[in-house]
Amino acid sequence: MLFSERKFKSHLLILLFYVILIPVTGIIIFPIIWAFLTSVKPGPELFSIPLRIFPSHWIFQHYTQAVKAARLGLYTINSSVVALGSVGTNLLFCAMAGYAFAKLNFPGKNILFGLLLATMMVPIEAAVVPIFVVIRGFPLGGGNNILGQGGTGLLDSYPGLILPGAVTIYGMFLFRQFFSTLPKELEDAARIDGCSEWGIFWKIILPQSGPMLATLGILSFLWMWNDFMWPLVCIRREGMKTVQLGLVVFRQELSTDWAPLMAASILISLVPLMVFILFQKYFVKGITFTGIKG
Amino acid sequence: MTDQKSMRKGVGSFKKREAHAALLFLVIPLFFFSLFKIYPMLSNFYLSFTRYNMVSQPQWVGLSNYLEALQDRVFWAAVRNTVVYGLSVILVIMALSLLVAIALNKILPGVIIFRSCFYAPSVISIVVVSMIWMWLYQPQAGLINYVLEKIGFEPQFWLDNPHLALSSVIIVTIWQQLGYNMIIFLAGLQGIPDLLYEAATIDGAGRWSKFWYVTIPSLKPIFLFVIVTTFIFVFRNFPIIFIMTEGGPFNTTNTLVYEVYRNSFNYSRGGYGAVFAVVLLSICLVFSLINLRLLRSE
Repeated sequence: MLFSERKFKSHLLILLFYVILIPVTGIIIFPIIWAFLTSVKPGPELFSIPLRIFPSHWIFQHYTQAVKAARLGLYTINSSVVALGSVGTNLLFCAMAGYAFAKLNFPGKNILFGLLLATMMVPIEAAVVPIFVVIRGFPLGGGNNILGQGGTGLLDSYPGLILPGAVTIYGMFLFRQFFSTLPKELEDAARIDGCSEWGIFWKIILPQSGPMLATLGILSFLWMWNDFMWPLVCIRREGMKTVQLGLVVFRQELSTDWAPLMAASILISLVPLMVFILFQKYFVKGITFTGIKG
Repeated sequence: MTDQKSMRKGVGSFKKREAHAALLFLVIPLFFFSLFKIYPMLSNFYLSFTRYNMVSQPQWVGLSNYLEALQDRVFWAAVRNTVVYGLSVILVIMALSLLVAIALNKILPGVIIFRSCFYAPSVISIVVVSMIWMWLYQPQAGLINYVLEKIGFEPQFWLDNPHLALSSVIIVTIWQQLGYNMIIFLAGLQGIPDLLYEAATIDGAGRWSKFWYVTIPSLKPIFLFVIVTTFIFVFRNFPIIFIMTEGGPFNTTNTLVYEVYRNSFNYSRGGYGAVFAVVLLSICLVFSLINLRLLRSE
């Protein structure tokens, strides 16, 4: 009797769980669904009263309009190049730094690592002007002389977009934490065999680091793909714009034309959403592996 | 040469070899760190004492930018809004994402889908999020006003009403960051050893006392981490202001990061903008140091 009462109670709790959570989750995800529904509606239905939730018929011309008018193809190439470039630099250099901090001893190590962590949370936005000046005054770039004068430096270029975020402290920290957990036996054996540190890093440590490489790779890609303020400051030329910049320009051109605007928004979000759906577990890794455990 | 001596020499050269290797591994990362982190922070501090039109050499003007800022209503509005924005988002996020995390901590059918739906807004860009919400907030045809009218409320000018604009921005930010913080709390909840709960059960603790005396204290580092990361997210949230409100109406949504951009790149007042950046930087540095203590105490 008591047992079945308890069972009934737990069933009731599970029912309550779904009754509350399904509508709440629906509300949370609804803005994204609404953007999609808006993008496939015929124009006049956006303003019809009573409001139609679903389109009377599904159309995709707003997508072709967005691709053509907003030059999404070109922007997608630009965003992909800088995002992949940023993945490459972050993986290589952050892993190198992580290796030095996790596996090697050298004078000043703790002070240096402390300095890195102390500035980890200082975002690029808080020092954007000096970074702009550094990129504009880059020696020999964009018509500059050896002193970095006379031209526009690396503004309006892929390196200009990539370099300020090419090596993140978060990435170095992530690798340092991960490398510290790897057992020492293999590398010690290699050291006794006379293998160089670079050889150990390249042949023994990196092959064991697949999940961490994937985690930081995915995160760096998304940071770059979704970034806005730095591209806004760095890019003037139409042909160099990233998808996020392109979307803002597109909005300035057709301020009240919501259907193509939502179509463009959905299109440039497909990449991050797909990445998220395919590689979910790495997002959690990125959070838990920085040592944030209960 | 005695054995001991040669051995010590061996150890010494091994140490040297390690330091050399470390130098090789670190030279590029540290070059980037100096050029794009340390130097900009120092340079920014210097610029705040100059007049700088973004083209010619900065001119030293002493404290005059700071004195101007102290009397500038826009500066105080930016400080006030940044603080209100940060605190409101933090308070709601902490309560809501913990609640959601607790609800979604059990492994029940479909729980992964629920979690993904909550997390999804944080993987799309702030630019897109701002676009989607501007459409929702749209006064005439937006969904929110439509629903409000249906249930008998007045429609609102969400982003044009000085009393509502900042709240509207806050809501969007909470919506976007809820899932991310939920994942952090989930990781925290799963890190609490079962032993603690079992011990509490033996001591006769009920559901609530377990929550207050086991769950909450165990999550203390998680709370701090959520506070730090959420504050930083809010402080650097330039796109939402740039796209949704441009700091208006009447500076009610103006923030420090937006004024840094506007002074430097619209008004060509790099020196004055640097004052805003210095304030922003100092706050971020404090949070960074809190974070450092957190990571070190692990």
